Amino acid sequence: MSVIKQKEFAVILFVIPLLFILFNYYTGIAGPAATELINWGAYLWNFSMIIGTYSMFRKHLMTITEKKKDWIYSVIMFASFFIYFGTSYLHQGAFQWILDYVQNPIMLTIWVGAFTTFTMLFRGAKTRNWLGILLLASSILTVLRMAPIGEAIWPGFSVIGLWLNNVPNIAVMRAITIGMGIGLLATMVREILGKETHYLGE
Amino acid sequence: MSDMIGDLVFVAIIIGIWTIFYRENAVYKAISSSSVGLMLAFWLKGGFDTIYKDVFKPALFDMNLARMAVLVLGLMIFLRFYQSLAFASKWPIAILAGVGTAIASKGAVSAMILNQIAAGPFFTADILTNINNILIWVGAIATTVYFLFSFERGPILNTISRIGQVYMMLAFGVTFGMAVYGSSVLTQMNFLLKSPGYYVTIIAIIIIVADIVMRSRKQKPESATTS
Amino acid sequence: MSTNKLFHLSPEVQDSIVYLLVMVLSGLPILYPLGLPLKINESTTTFYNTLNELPDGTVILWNEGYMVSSYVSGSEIAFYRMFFDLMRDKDVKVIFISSCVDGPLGGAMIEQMLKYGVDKTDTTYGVDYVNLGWLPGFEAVLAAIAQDIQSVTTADAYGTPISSIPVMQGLTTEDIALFGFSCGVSVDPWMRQWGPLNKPILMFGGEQLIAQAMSYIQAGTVDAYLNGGRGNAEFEKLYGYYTLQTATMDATNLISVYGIVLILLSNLMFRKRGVQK
Repeated sequence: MSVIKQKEFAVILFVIPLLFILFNYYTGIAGPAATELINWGAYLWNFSMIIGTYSMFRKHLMTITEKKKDWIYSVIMFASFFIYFGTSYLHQGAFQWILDYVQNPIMLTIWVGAFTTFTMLFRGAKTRNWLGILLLASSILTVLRMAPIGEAIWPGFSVIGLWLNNVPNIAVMRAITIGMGIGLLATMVREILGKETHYLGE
Repeated sequence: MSDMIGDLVFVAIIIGIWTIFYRENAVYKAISSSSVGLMLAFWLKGGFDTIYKDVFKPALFDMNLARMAVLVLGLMIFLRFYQSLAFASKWPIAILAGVGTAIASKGAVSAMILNQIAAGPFFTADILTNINNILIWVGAIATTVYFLFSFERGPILNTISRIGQVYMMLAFGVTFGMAVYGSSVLTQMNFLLKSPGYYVTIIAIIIIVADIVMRSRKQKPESATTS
Repeated sequence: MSTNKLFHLSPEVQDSIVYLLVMVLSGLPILYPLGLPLKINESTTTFYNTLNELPDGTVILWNEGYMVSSYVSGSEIAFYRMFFDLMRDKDVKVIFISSCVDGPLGGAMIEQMLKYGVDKTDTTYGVDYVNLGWLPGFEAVLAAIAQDIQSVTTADAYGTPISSIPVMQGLTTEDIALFGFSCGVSVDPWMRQWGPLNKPILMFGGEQLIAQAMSYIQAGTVDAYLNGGRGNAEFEKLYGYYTLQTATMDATNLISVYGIVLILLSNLMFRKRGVQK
């Protein structure tokens, strides 16, 4: 099998820009080249987005041609795509109108997190032990610190809530951040050694 | 006039999405399908504009070699559709992954590790600050012990892990509390309850109530015949 | 079939009541405001003072990345207006850019603010401020900004080559004295890319995000922050310009109390079922 067809060749192409950028970062040598490589990351990401869009289109096109369940919604998807994409280049006014009055309410509302949070509170916020009670007490005190009504009921809520935010929260976030940083470096080492090749789809 | 129509459409879309809480319906499905198309179009427009402005033009009109190279690499991604050349489509992905990993890792050492370790003096003029900083470090170490030492712990490690658990419950309570505080539909309700949105709101309520009544009447004769 | 009935109501009906109460309690203060006073926290005052005390001629880079609710409610208008006050009073220069992970909405929001939200009297585009628009790539863009601001893009949001924009001519990343960003996702990318620059960083983010970012704030990587919707409302009070954000602060009171009541109710019901068993 030819060398360039092997997985290891792709791993080398992964490692070289990685080491080059790190080399520049720590030595300051070859700055313009490293800057260009960093920008390549953004541009290549755009191209890969086009592939993602094609995959999505292919899936919906098959749904339409094979008249699968709910195929009409795939038609709606295509229609909204082409209208929006077309107006973005041909009619700026219409594009802005769709952005302001169609896309914005959809993006604002489609993630119904507010409602699911409250049903989760109603169904799932049950404590089985004292640690759970601590969690809920901390969350209640935080809510009372953030909402002006908390201060109106008792100014102490603000003091306690702030302390919770500034001491235990910082302590845990610090530990998690350090852990994440070490994890990032460990993953980088594994990737350089070729142990992780998830980016190749394996 | 177009703003009024826009406002009515705005509110209609919000209510259309919220009908999912009543029952699954065609309006919600249509809106969620169109949201996919709109987002794709939005992203693709931004992507195409950037590729044209920062890759295509410099590569083909300014003869910028670096941008020519990235244009070739970007087009190579499409080789995945050709069986014999599909191997080459992984090269630009590998480069992209390498650049991304380098970008994430280079700042991780100073911002995520060193700055965090160096933070918090223990000896300041304010004794409360000193106590708080000590408590922060106790909590950070205890939390790290909890995560790192996942094998069977002895009495000392167990105690330290327990302290870490206490800190974590307080910290996750803060995050949870922030999530509860930040969860609301205030912005949407502002549009639903003010002019001209409340016309759409009233019509929507009438439609939903009528649907509830019609469905309950349909169910009653069925239950009468089965009994 | 679920046996989780409460007062002879099925779980589906219970959920519907929960949803309905969310809508009602969100909407009620919009119709009948409570008017509770809003105390300004130290974090907001620090954010405001950091901007207010900038030396003349400072170059600021503002990265717009907040969620769609900010676009709709215009909650960031107050500090955009303050940027323009600083341009007029202190010859401050501002570079607007977006690498928002939500997509081009960040760029659209900058355009919206610049078109309708701010007072551009006595300021000149290209001389006092520039809009570089939305650039895809998220952390890659942040890294490019940290590496070399000139390399980030070849033209601004309107297609003008940056080489012909006065404020960008000869500008390096070193010249940027203050970085600011609004974000709706994890704060780590900004900290990784801009933290090592050792420049002042201002941040505006959602409440959960600020909780996550507290370790960076305490470490001094972030100099000042606005804590979500409340922080925004406090800033508006300090600055003296009010938007929907301030108007909705009242509603957060009822919704917050509702959340606490649900937590307590959930636990009471759980204990009651446990006792009955």
